[in-house]
Amino acid sequence: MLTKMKLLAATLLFGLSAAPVTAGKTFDRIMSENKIVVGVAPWNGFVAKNPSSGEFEGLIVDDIKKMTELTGIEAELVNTTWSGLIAGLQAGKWDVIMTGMGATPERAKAVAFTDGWGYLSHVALVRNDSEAQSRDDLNAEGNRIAVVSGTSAHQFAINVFDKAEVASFSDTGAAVLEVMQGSAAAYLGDSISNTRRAEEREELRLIEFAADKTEWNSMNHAVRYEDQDLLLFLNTYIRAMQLRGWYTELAEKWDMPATLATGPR
Amino acid sequence: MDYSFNFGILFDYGDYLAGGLWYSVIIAFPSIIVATVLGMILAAMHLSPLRVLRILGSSYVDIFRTLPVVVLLIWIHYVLPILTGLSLSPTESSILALSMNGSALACEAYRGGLQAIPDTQRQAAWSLGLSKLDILRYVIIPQGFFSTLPALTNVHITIIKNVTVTVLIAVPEVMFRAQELTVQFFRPLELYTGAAIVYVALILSFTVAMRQLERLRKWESV
Repeated sequence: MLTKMKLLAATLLFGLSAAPVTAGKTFDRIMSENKIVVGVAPWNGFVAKNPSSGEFEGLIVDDIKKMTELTGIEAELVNTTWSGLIAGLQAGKWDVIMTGMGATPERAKAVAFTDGWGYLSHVALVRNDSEAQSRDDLNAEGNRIAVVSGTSAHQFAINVFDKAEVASFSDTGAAVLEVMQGSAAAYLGDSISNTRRAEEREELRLIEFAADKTEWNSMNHAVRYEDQDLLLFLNTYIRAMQLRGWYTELAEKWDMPATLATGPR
Repeated sequence: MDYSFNFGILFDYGDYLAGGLWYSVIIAFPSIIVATVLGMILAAMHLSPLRVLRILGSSYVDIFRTLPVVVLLIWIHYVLPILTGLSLSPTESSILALSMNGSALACEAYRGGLQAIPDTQRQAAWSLGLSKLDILRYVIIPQGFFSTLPALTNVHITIIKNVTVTVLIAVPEVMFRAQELTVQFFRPLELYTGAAIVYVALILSFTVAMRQLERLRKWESV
């Protein structure tokens, strides 16, 4: 660490005049070292560190294991936060984000997304004593809809709730607590996490929106734009595994709806 | 509020949560040491008769005292590699950010303590024939150190509490682990309460140790 500190001090002395790092051949490096560095963020059922074993578990972890098994490329998983995923990719801390990030046009300005390998819709979580049964019931004057800022659910809420107030929070825990304490009428989030949350918490109930009242999002991996060869490699893997029914198999194993693999029917 | 608490989760996963304490300690204590030493140097620069040193010292303090730790952390961890190619680990980035911020705060604590010593003491020591070094050794530093200690302890506690900010760059300390477990078990209030207990225990232990150090004072300030 001391050497790094010295290097840093030297850099600062030269007035941070160094030019931006030239893009390395990430894919070549992965092939030569036989190792890919993967950025992941905690997501219940998809990627989570088992507190007892310290090992990563979940649907995405199984997918990464399958990829390493088929290609022989070892994967190093780096645990980070959702807000740090893109920044870390751009800073070269990892080669790829594999945590089920939804592809949106806004995010695509910053990173290159692979083809979608899974699909989610938006659903609402309300208190058990809530009278609301549909999206229209929630979209009423005086209602607050809690969302996590920057998520696709946030954008969806802004687009569809014209009467209710959309309140954004920095993390899911805070947004859900707003509903529990009655400050917000509902928490809007992805179908899988909210279904699990409603099963876990007796104080909460799920409201699934009608097919034409929700919005579907794909789950994708993301790489830097300069790593087109890596993108091609990952897309080939995703397409092959879709044809083999791998994602349906994973959805069954992790007790998730079949639509996760197929998308809206 | 309709919320059923289940603090049993702290019995199930308390050891995993408390395991994050190791990271809190290995980030907080090196940062405290660097901030304390660097703060002393900055205070000396601040009080120097040389204008250039005064300007350098005060500029550093003004920049790093006002810059939010979150911004500093993100800059060091994510922007620095893009600009320079130098990539620090989350732990190293955290120590650097907390040291930079902490040293600016420590400098002000030292400056306050040293300036509180009346100039007449320096003059009296000088008239007794003590050299400049002896004045520093026997008059200024002993009084300055102990009168600065309570303010310095506050700076150290701020550094320890700022370790929770490192959750942003995924240092697996207590708060990060609380978030991780919250995602899996949907028990934010219980888990954050657990994290708070761990931090309170750490800070209380530190405060007790610093109070013991304060009791060692041999020179009461005049």
